[in-house]
Amino acid sequence: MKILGIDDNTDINELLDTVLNGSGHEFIYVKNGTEGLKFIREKKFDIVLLDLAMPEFSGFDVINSLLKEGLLTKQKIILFTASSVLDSDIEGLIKKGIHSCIRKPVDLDFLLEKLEQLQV
Amino acid sequence: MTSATNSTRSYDQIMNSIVMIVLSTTMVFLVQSLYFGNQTLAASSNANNDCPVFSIKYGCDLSAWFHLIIDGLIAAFLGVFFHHLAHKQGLKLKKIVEEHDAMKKRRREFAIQSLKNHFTTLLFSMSLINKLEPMYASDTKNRDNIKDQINRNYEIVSRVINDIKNVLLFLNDVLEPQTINDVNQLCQTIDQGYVKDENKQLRVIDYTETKNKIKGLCKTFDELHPAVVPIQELFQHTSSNPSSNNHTLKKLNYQDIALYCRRLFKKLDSSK
Repeated sequence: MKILGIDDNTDINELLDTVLNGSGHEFIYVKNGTEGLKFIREKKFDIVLLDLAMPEFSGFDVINSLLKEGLLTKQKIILFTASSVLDSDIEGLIKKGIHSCIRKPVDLDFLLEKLEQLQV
Repeated sequence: MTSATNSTRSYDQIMNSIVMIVLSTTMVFLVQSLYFGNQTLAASSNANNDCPVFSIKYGCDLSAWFHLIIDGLIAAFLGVFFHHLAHKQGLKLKKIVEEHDAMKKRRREFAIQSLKNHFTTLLFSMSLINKLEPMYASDTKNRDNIKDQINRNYEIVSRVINDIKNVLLFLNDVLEPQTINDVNQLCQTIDQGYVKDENKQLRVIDYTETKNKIKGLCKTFDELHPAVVPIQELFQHTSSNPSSNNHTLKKLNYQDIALYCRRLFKKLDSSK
């Protein structure tokens, strides 16, 4: 699977890079929302792991931009966030076109399992 | 129900204002009376029939009654003026307190979010170490490579523990003491969790225990600090609210605090 990670946390990006590329996926990561948006516009990914809280251009801004451009449903966008977001807000975003939400902290095995399920 | 509460509150506020004005008027009046008491008595002692009580004429002193009225008017004016100042000051203080509370909430959100991010990194690294350890023992060909990866992950774990300690140090005012204790205990457990086995190989003990502790901690976070802020508010930009720049205490949003704390942590790391 072609997976894009948009997260400002370098450690998480690098660890996911090791694990996902090591398990047969193609994983690319960017550290901010602006770059992430550019990647989503230009390339096609199967899954986008999107962090919400990022400086300057947050994941929420990415979602809003994609929504305006009609690109939100172009790929499966999974929120991968540690922010205290209300369940009702997540439901609202899912209705708008977000695929699902994984709340941090999460076990590596759980994440891999979730991605495998999406592959099927 | 809410409107009834609001109307009671505004009625109370009006009553408080009236009481404050009356009290301050009385106070100013009393002070003034002390100052002007002698004059009043002197004026009344020289009462002249050609000078009626409320007349203002050349050669006539102000009567005691007129003094009293003038004193009363000045006292009332000063009373209202002081009340206005106090009210204005009260509003300013209220605004500062509200902004302080809002900033505290955002700092708390940042602290919890940072901790959760660090926990994710910890879980990922420890999980990787646990997966790589058996491979190191069995795969003799790539031993050096695997060893490097293991060491890199150990470095990440120890760095993340330092970062967690930094978060606790700088943001301890917004976290519950119980949370701080629990996180400290977790750090200690992980710190002590590296043991050398019979092959003199470092390994993480009790990954599952650590994982469960982290899960428990996050549950406590959610109970102590439940999500209450709507997503729009959580990720609003300061620039979209220019009026906030006028306040004495600038309204900081999450992004600003995140940037500020990151710079602070970087400075701390570089100073080390």
